[in-house]
Amino acid sequence: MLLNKHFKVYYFFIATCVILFSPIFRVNVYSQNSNEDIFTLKNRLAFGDNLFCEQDYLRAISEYRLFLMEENNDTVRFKIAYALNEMGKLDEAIDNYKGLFYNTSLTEESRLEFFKANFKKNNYSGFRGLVDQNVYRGDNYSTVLNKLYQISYFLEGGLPDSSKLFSAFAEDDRDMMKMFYLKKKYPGYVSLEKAGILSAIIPGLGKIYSDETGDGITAFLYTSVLGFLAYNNFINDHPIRAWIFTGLAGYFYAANIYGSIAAAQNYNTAINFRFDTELKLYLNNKKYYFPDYEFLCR
Amino acid sequence: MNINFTKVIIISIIISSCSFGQNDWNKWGKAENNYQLPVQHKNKNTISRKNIGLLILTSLNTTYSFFISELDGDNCPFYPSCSAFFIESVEETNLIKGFLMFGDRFTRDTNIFKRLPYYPLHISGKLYDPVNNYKLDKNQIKYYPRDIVVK
Repeated sequence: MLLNKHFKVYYFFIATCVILFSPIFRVNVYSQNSNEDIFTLKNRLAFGDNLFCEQDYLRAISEYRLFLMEENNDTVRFKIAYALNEMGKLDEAIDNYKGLFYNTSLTEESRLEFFKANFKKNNYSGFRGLVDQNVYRGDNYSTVLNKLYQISYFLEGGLPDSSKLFSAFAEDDRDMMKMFYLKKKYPGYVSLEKAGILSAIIPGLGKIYSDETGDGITAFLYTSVLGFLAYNNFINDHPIRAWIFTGLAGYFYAANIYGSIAAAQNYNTAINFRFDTELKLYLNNKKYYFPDYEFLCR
Repeated sequence: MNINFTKVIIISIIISSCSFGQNDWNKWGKAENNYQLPVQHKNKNTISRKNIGLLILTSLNTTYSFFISELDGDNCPFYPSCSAFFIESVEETNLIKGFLMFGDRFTRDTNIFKRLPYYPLHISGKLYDPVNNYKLDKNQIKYYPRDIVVK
């Protein structure tokens, strides 16, 4: 009888637990027993597309590659190459674009993007060589390619032929190109020789000419104060001190001429850098004149 | 046999929960904290044996560093510091050019006027002024925009 009574308590405890937790169990059972497979090809592609549009290219590529293991798709392969391009893995992107050159629905587009990736490699003479070879060039987008070809001269290899440059662009872009052309033709460089000579005449003047006014004044103060000290000591018959100050004044005088030339060179480099940055920013805003494919979310 | 099932269940729950709850001893172990700030950069101060000139210069630099610079503190506003710039410029060019580059750097260092807009910041918080930009070699000059932090 006693044992029976304890069994009753036990069963009561179990029954209470079941009643209490049954809704939770039910939810879990539903969620775990769902027969739907979430890793279908369709879902994987949709997830990859979502990641691609969010510019999470690395994860999008891994999803796409898993998709391609099951099914071939030109758009997906194109998107992998594009994602690599955007991530800066240009060589890998170029190889992926090459795989789409023949017998695919995106032949022309992949050829165009192939040239864009080559353009972005900063080897502009190599880019022009590729365009001139006419091997990979498509038929539909020759105007876009011609624009990039002309612009590449701005970044490397001197000035482009003005008539060819302006004829490659439509009316609304032509004004910008004129501005870039004039900036390239008259960049506003400072002359290294002039900076050196100016600093030789008046210490620090070459630095002021190269837009480093504070350094120029400091160089002038060093040389003039040390020169005055040398002169003063010579007058007052302190030859040892006088020669020490003369040596120091001469040293700072020579260093100031050297520094002025270096400052002028740095000034010119800054001008080149700003021009290149401005041009690349413009190209980026214009999306390199490329057609807008809907599937690229750009 | 008289078995108290309620007690058995309660004891088993207590034992199991205790054994699960307390097996994670590492979590409560003593952790050693280090509040020391990481050193961003340090001058090399090594004696070069490439040639006799560099041997003398680097020895002088090490002596200066040991007796003056390290006691006085890290006061140079530039990275690399003026002494490191001097040694590096002599190593990469020659003695005369290195001396001239150092004279120019010394002028820039003692410039009392506003110089912040002319240099990018180094990650150590100093103004970045590399040797390569003053070697008068156009191909080696690298322009850094003023609003970036160079690593």
